[in-house]
Amino acid sequence: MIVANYLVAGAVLCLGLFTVLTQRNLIKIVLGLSLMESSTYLLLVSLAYRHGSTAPVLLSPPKGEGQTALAHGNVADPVLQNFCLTAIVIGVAITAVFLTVVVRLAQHYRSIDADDIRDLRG
Amino acid sequence: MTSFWVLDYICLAAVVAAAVVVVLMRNLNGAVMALSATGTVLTVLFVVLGAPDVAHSEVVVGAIALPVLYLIAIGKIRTDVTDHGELGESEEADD
Amino acid sequence: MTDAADAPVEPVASADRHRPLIGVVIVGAFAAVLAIGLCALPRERAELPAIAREAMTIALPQWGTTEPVNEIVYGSRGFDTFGETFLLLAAVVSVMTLGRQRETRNEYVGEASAGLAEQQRDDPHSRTDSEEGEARQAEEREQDDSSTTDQESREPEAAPDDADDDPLGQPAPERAAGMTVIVRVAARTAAVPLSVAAIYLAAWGYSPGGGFPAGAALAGVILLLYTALGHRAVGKVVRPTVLEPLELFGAAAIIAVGVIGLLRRGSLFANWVRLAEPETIRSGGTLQLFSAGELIEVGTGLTIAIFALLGTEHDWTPDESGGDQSSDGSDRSDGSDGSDASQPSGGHRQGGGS
Repeated sequence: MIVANYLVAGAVLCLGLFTVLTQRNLIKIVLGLSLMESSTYLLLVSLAYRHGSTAPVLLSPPKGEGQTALAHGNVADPVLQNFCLTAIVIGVAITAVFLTVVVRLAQHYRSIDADDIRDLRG
Repeated sequence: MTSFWVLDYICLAAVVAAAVVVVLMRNLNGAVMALSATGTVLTVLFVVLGAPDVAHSEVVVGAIALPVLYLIAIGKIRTDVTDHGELGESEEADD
Repeated sequence: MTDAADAPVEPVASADRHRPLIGVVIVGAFAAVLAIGLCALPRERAELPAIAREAMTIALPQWGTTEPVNEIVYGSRGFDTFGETFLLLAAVVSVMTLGRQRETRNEYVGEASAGLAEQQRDDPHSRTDSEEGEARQAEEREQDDSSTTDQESREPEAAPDDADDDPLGQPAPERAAGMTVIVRVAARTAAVPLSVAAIYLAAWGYSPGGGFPAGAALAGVILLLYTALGHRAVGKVVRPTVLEPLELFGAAAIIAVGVIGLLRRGSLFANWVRLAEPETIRSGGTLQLFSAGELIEVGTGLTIAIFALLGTEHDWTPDESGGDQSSDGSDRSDGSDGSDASQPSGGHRQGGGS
């Protein structure tokens, strides 16, 4: 049943959170954030699934169903899938900015260990 | 209908395995490849769950955009500047 | 086998973690709460929410498209996609500005010279130390390497233009710009079908796919050509003067589609185009225009972000604690001599650097 999807999404979120909390290497922290984002994609699409549903596409409906019948029939939830699309685009955008900041930090402090960088001055 | 759930559980197991590899792997390039594997398995899962649009975006992001950004960042972080010319960039690129 | 000191070792993260036990406790508690919440979510037998049913039913009659997800993404929730696309634009702009070197402005602004003057005033004793001098010199060498101004200390010839005439057994890193002939030919032949597939993703609006995956796939094709053929091959296209206007044209097209819909139909991103046959390229009215605008913007935006990150040069800043004299020892000719290192300058930690 679909609860397994939800629980796996929660597990991957916790894995990412654990990485962000305990890692010293900045790249691993950004990797942890990407893991947390991937878990949200999984959760959103799992929420959109309905029992025995087909994809919300009216292009070539499964045999024996007209397009309008499919529109009223058993389909997955397109609105939640749109939320997941937006989440994926935003995930790419912020990961690019995170990585640029990490590169600049590494060049400035000449180390990517979170401890060296933590003692911010001023 | 059980074939659907078998596929679903296999993909879920693969996602968790890839996520654990990302967390535990010390070699940064390996961790990035594991993240790309997570994205690709998620794409298969999205197709199984009936979300073709999301699968398109996830495969493109998981296979192209994210790994390239990470590998470039890891490459740029090496603070030694002795190697030179390996990118073959030249001045006219940013005139 | 002797450990080749200069061979680039794989970048490895350190093994020790920050207080893993406390981390496990916190994440464990969070996981428990999360599990309770997730189990309470509606399962797969729940009825489809009203908005989803409405989106499915109006897709064909009102928008003439057989793809409800595209209808939601670019039609009824167009404002949400508009915000997300411009967030990607903001991210690309921030990557570009972060990646830019402090260029020496000669107009009246004079940012670099002003910055240097201010730096001298704020931090009088922080002159550049020897280690940074070498690094800046190596940096110049890296810059002018391909323009073959030969200095005796450097390798005489420039990077070979592809891997075939790079003699075997060269120490890494590989200095050829392009790859071997097999990869170059394969990349050239694969580039065209791949870009056609990317354009198909956006053009066939009535089937799954859309502007974002198409744009990202196009950026992937450009990257494929860059890695296979080297920078000279994509140099003509991947230039700020070409990509930035194109990206902003895509953004302007999206704004235009939205505002015209607002003016003529009363609501942003409403459909103001005559509906075509449902399963043709033009089906879906303004969905296709929005998708094309996003294709242009995402394709050029991701390319700019990746090449800006690729082009960030080392912006060496003087070491705050006046350089770690302990490692340089006696051979410090120029730069701050040992006197200021002992003098406690604010909260600086001694011995910077990794």
